[in-house]
Amino acid sequence: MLRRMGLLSILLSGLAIVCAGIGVLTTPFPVLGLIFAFGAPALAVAGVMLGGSAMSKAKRAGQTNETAKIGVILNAIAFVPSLLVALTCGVCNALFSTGNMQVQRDVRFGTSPLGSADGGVRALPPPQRSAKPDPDGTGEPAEDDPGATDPNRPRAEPTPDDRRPQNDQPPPERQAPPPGNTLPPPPLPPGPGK
Amino acid sequence: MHPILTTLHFGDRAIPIGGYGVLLALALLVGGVVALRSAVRLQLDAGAFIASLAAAIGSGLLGGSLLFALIGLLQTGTLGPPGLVFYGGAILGALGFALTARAHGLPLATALDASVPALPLAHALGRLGCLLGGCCYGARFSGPWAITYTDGLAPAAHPAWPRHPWPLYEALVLLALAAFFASRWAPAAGSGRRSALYVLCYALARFALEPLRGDAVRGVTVLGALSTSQLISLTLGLGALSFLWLARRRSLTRSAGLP
Repeated sequence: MLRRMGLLSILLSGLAIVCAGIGVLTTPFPVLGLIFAFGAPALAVAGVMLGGSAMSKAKRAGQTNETAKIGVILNAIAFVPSLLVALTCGVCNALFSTGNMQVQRDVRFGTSPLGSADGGVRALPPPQRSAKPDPDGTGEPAEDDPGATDPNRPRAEPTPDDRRPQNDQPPPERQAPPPGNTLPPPPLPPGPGK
Repeated sequence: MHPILTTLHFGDRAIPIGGYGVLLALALLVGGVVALRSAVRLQLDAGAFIASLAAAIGSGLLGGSLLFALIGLLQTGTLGPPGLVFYGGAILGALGFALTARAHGLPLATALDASVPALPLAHALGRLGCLLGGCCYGARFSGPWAITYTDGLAPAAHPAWPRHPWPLYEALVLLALAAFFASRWAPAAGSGRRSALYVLCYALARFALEPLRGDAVRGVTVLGALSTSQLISLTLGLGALSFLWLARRRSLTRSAGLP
């Protein structure tokens, strides 16, 4: 009986971790995500209680219950990520479920939703191909490109379509470099004296 | 102030790890370990004490959420975003602790006294979590130690005024209380006096610090003067004072040999 309680405690710690994982995955689903995210720490707490009770009963019976002790430790460890999931994914889910936050699902780049009054024009920035900077304007990212530093690799010439934004808006004007990065103009040579 | 400490990436899914959550988990773990050590030193049944602590944590988190929801419901008429209120957690947590301790045959007064130095320590860590998260913030203040929350995720950053570092004030008071109750000057554990004195000290400190709070939601007020926390502080403080007075009278009667 005592051993069974200890094993159940260990099982609860595993369930808490699994529940936390499912809580992360089901964050976008209003009630389901809430149940899993807040159920995970509840399972871990129940596991600690069960393990503690098993330890107490074993002590009264003059025995030692290592399984229960392991269950308490595992549940205490499982409690930390479970609580973090509850306080991030669970709270996020609750905010969406109670209507304190809303997802705007009708955003389309370059076109406005059907029936809108603005005639299909939205002041949204053009979509970027990559978040990485593109220093040479070839459409290739500067970093995280395994072959970017390979001198033997042929560089593809950008086609005009590659450079054109997808929403038929005029390309943004190249901005002048900030003043801190520019050198002052060289001093003029002394002109002929009058 | 760091509402988001770091972000974990699992494939294309990003999970932000909030500073408040990390500090709350740390507070519960550290508080639990310190309380358990104290209980073992007092020769209490460790297993029963662990079960009681877990019950206190579970019911405490539930109580804190329920009181937060209730305050929001009474003030705005709707269920607001989820949150935690310390007093709700403390009251329901103490109830859960007492019921589980009784079910396991633990001496309640000794068990409560054993957990006293750990409670303010854990609470202080939780307040540092508030500081990181930008919640439980102070009123507008322009003194030299004022802090300005600038992260847009923090409730205190709307508007981003310089404010009293309220969580720090309370954390300092709580750390001082933890140091006192861990010292040899604290009342001996076993009679419940240590717990009652802690409740009295915290209630007084909270009552005094409450006017420096700057959150918009401070609960139901009495005559526009007292917040919910001040009302609870008043009630708990008077209860603790009555307990201490009765305990002292009983010990005086006993020492005088009167029936």
